[in-house]
This record gives sequence, C-alpha cells and structure tokens, in this order.
Amino acid sequence: MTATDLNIEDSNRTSARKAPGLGLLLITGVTVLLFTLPLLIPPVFLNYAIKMMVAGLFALAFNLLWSHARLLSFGHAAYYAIGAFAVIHALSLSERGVLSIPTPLIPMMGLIAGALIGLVVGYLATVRGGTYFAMITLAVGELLLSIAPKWEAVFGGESGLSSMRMPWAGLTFGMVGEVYIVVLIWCLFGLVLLRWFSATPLGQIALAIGDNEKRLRFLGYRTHAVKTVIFSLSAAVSGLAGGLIAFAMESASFELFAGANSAMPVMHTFLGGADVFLGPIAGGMGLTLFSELASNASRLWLLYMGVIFVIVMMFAPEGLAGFISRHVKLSLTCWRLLIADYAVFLSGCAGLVLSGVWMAEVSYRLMGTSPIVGLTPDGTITLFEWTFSATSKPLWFAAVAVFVLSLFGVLAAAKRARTTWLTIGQKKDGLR
Amino acid sequence: MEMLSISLLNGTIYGLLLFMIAAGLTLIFGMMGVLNFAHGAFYMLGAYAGYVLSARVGFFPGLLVAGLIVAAIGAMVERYMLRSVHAHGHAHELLLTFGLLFVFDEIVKFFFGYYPVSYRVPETLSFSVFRIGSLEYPAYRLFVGLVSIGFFGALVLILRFTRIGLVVRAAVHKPMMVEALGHNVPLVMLLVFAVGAGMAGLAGAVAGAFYPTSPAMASEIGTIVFVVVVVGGLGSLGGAFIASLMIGILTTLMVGVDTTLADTLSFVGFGSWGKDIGGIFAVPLSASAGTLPFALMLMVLLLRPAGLMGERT
Repeated sequence: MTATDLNIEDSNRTSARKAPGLGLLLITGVTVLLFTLPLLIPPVFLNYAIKMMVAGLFALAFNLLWSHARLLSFGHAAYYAIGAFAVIHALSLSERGVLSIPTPLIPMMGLIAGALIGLVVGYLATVRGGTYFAMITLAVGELLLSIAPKWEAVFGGESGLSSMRMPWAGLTFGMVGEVYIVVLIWCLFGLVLLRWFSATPLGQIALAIGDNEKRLRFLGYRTHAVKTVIFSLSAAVSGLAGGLIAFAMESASFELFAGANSAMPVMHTFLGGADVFLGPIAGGMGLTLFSELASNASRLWLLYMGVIFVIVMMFAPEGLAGFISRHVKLSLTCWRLLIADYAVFLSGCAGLVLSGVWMAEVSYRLMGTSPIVGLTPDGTITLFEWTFSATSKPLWFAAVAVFVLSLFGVLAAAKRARTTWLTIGQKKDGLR
Repeated sequence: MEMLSISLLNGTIYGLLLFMIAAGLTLIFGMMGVLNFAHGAFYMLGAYAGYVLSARVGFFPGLLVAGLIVAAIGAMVERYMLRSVHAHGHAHELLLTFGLLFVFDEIVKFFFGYYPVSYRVPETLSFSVFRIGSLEYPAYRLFVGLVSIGFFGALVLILRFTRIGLVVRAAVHKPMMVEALGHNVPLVMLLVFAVGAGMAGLAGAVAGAFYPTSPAMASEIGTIVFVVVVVGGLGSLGGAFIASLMIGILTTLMVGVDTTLADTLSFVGFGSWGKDIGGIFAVPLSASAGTLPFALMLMVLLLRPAGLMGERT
C-alpha cells in the first residue's frame, strides 16, 4: 500500500519527487569530490572530515524519529556508544583471529548491535509518545551511563577499551586516507538507507504517525510496531555512526554514553533544520567543523553554541536550513525590494557576533575563572595576533556601540522585510 | 540499627529537598504541558546566587534573596522566551528549555569556573543536634528538612485554601476551560513558573551549602527530579511528594548496602554464575545507587505509564 492509496494529502513533509537533472549532477559532483578528498587535503583535516561525516550521519539517524513520527529522543548516546563498543569488540576478536570478517565490514557490527538494542528499547519506549517518550529515552540513556563504567568486561571500566584494525586485502588501514574512505562509504550507505526508507510504504506510514497517529490506528495500522521498527532503524544507524568513530579512533570508553553525546544530535538537527532532509547533515557537519576549529581558539565555544541554539529556537524554529530555504523561496520574486534589508540584516548579524564574541572573550579573561586562558601580567590580551589592553575604555565603548547598533539594525531590517512580504502577499491575494 | 535510622532520616530529608524542586516542575508541566529541562539549572543558579549573596548580606537573607532572584529569572524565561515559542508547539518549548539548560550551565562556568566553589554551612548551624548511638547528627540537615517541610506546608495551604490556589489547581487540569471562565491564565502561568523556579532556587541555595556547589549539579539534580515527576505522575503534586520521599529514602538506603546482586543470586544457587557475568552483578549495590532511580522510572513507566498518581490519558 502506498501513500496515494492511503490518500494522504501531500504536505511539505512528504517528499516530492522532482525530475533528476541538476540535482543528480550535483550529487555526483559532491560524491566524486568526497572520494578524491584524501588527495586534496592534509591528513589532519581528513580526521576532521571523518568526525564531521559521522556527526552528520548521527544527527540524520536521530532525526529519522523526529521528522517521521515526531518522537524526540534525548538518549541517543546509548545506541551510539553501544555501536562503538560492538565495533571495538569485533576488532579485538578479529585481532585475536577468532572472527574472520574483512576489516572494512566491521562497522557493520555497530549497525547490528544498534538495531538489536533499538528493537528492545524501542518496543518499550514507543508505548507512549510525546514527553513520556522523551523521558523514557532519557532514562535508558542515564541507566546505561550509570552501569557502563562498572561493567569492566564489556565496557572496559573507567579506562575504556582499545583495539587495532587488522590489514585486509593489501590495505593496512594504518593511513588516515584509507580509514576515511571506509568511513565515507559507510556514511553514504547510511544516508542512502535512510533516504530509501522514507520512500518505502513503511516510511510513509511512519510519516503519517507524526501527522495523526490516532487516525492511523483507526485505519487498522499497528502503529506501535511501526514505531518500534523506525526506532530500531534509527538506533541502528546511530550505532553505525558510533561504530565508525570507534573504527577510526580504535578505542571506546564509557564516556561515549554521556549526556553530551545525546545532546549533540539534538542540537545539530534542530540548528540545521529538522524538516529538510539534508538539514541535520548540514548542522552536524557544520557544527562539528566549527567546534573542532573553535574549541582550539576559544574555551567559550559551548556557550556560543547554546546561545545560538536558543536564538534559533526562538526566532527560526525551522532551523537554519529551513530558514534559508524559506527565505530564498520567498524573495526570489521580489529580491529587488528586499536586498537592502537583507544586507542590513546580515551585516547586523556579523556585527552582533563580532562584538558579542569580543566582549565575552575579554570579560572571560578578566573574570580569571579559567585555569587555561587569562591575562598577561600587564593586563593585555592577544586575540588573533592583536594585542590590546583588556580594560581599554575606547575599545569597550566601541564594542558596546557596535553591539547596540547591530541589534537595532537587525530588528529594524527584520521588521521592514516582514512588512514588505505582507504587502506583496496582499497584492497577490488581490490579483486572485 | 543506628545506621538504618540515620539513613532513614537522611533519606527523608533528601526526599523533601527533591520535592521542593519537583513541585514547581510538576505544576508547570500540568499547566503548560512542557517538562522544563532548565529546572535543574534554576536549582544550580540558586546555589550560586546563595554562595555570592551569603558572603555579602549574611547567610539567611542571602537564601531569601537568592530564591527571589531565581524566581525573577524564571519569570523572564516564561514571559519573554517560552511564551513566544508556544505557537511552534510543545516540542520546540522542550527544545528551548533544553538549550537554556546548556546556556545556564555555560554561564555559571563562565563566572565561577569548572570546579566546586566553597559555599559552606554558616557557623550558627554547624553543630550537631543529637546523637543516635555513636553518630552525631548535623543541625544543618535538619534545617534543610525544616525549610522543605515549611514550603511544602505553605504550598499545600495556598493551593488548598486560597482563591488563587483554586485557580491554579483548575488551570493545571484544564487551562483552556479556566481561561474561558475569564481567569487570566497566562498570568497564573507566569506566577506558577516564577514560584516554581524560586522554590528550586531556594532549594539550591539551602542545599548548596551542604552538598557540593558545582556546574555539574544542574544536570545531576535535573535528571533525578525528572524521575521524581514522571514516577509520581506528570502534573500530580501528591504523586511528586510520594515519589520524592520514595526515591530519597531508597537511594540513601542503597548506599549503605554492601551485598552484591551475585550474593543475592547465591540464595537461589546462581551465585557463581552471577560473579562470572561480573559488571553490575559483582559490584556492591551501594555503588549502583545512581542506577536505581532510572530503573525505578522505567519500571513505573512500563507497569503504570501514568505514574503513581497521574491521570490515565
């Protein structure tokens, strides 16, 4: 039975099929670029690329539950970590010669382990929806987090487990380039799997659960079974993501279960944009790259991320990808009217970010709470090779002025743009 | 026996403290349908406010002002943040509070660093009240218990016997209906949110002097309070009370238990099997006390999903 048989109205959540053309070309281009990346960039960046792809895949797996059945999980670290440990155990088994599977196929163990645990937890968790579901997943995550460090045999206690990738078919997997290619192929596999699932009848029923579960039950569908299956699939791909990280790092510890790992896919997904298929990937990859780069430069990275998350939730709840795509669609017809507002808005945002970050960084050093960053004895700071006095009045005045002006500019531009859209909308209605 | 009575007393006081935090959370859930992730952060903010203020204005005024400050923060969060997100649905409200927890956590780290601060019990309360056998009992614990009981009593009296209490109780169950009857439900929500946040803040200020005050306390107490609220039944104050005491007493008692699960299994002849599995079967139960609340919550959710006193939906 397909979506059309069910007579589901084509909302913007159901994927509209477009004619392949430009999109196909773009996909091929990006894929070719990704496969040739080891030739183009130095190995350090390949490690970043691995983390980015895994974060993107993890967010996408998390978002399977939200974008389809409108289920919010706050404990996805559990499946991520279990996938990682499954891969570490498989690696050490193959190292000891007990298990003979080709090394590149070992991340599969993460997928299988995730699917199995997901089937059990999913069956229990999806009995209830909404807040109860969120709480059950949170409880399962915390439960495993509290058990893991005490179960030495399985999770290696406080220190964790490590293992080695065995050579296979002439490949040593000692080079980061080889690992990158394996991770890339698995990530693409996960991506295609999730994309394919959305298009299956089961995927469409899962979508309908998000719209109106009660009605679906009246139609005779066993929604609990469907939710269990998509939970298991989501956990499986999360396990694959965790397995890939373990495969790349050759180690895993109980800290993978920590709440921070459950928070990451949530942040990535909703910052990126939950209702655009590539939103979570963009969020996961973008934020991971930023955090890798920014965590070296600033100790306050998590604060910035939290603030951005709160702002996005308040003013652009559809996420950045959703926000941008909506604006592109809206303004294509009337960009001449709006371009000045957009320019003011964007430069205002830049001003807010620059002055806000400057003030936060400088006052953080003035506070002296961090054991790592602080002032030099003469009270100066060096940020980006620029040395200045931390208490310089003109600089603080300038920063506050830029902040206030930018805030004003952003608000004014947003208001003007909204008025323009309203007038255009009214004109269109009038023509009809 | 001495150990048992001390544990029971400690557990009861811990439970009362949990209730002081959980009460606001469960009332807010009843009215808004949102479980406030940032509630644990209010507790933490209260502790830090108490730490800063007690050094300036004295300990007891400091506690009170800390509670008021956190209540004001709570009111701002409700009025200027949650209310504007309300139109986008419950999930986004949940996500917003989730982000706020993150931000409050980082702000505290910004000002006070990653390590616990030295927020101490004042001289006037650091003596022992009585002895049970050879064990002395600190007065401050009793103070924590008394404050919690005081607030519990005040809350019950207000909710039970005043007009505003009546409106709040009605709004917890049927907010739309109460609004239709002409009551200003948004204002009531603001009030309940502020009072709930203030109680969590005061609990933090009181407990922070006794337990360590560190940035980790928000998520630690936050998750336990979630468990309390879910076990008690979302929106049910009575349920939250029973669940707080239950979890407080059980976790405190469990810390004192030395046997392992494997030992228990050996009664039925599976002891060596249990030891072979290792992990949770071989650690003393005292070490897995942190596991208990979550196990309890899972059990309750599966056996009686509405919680102990929650309505069936």
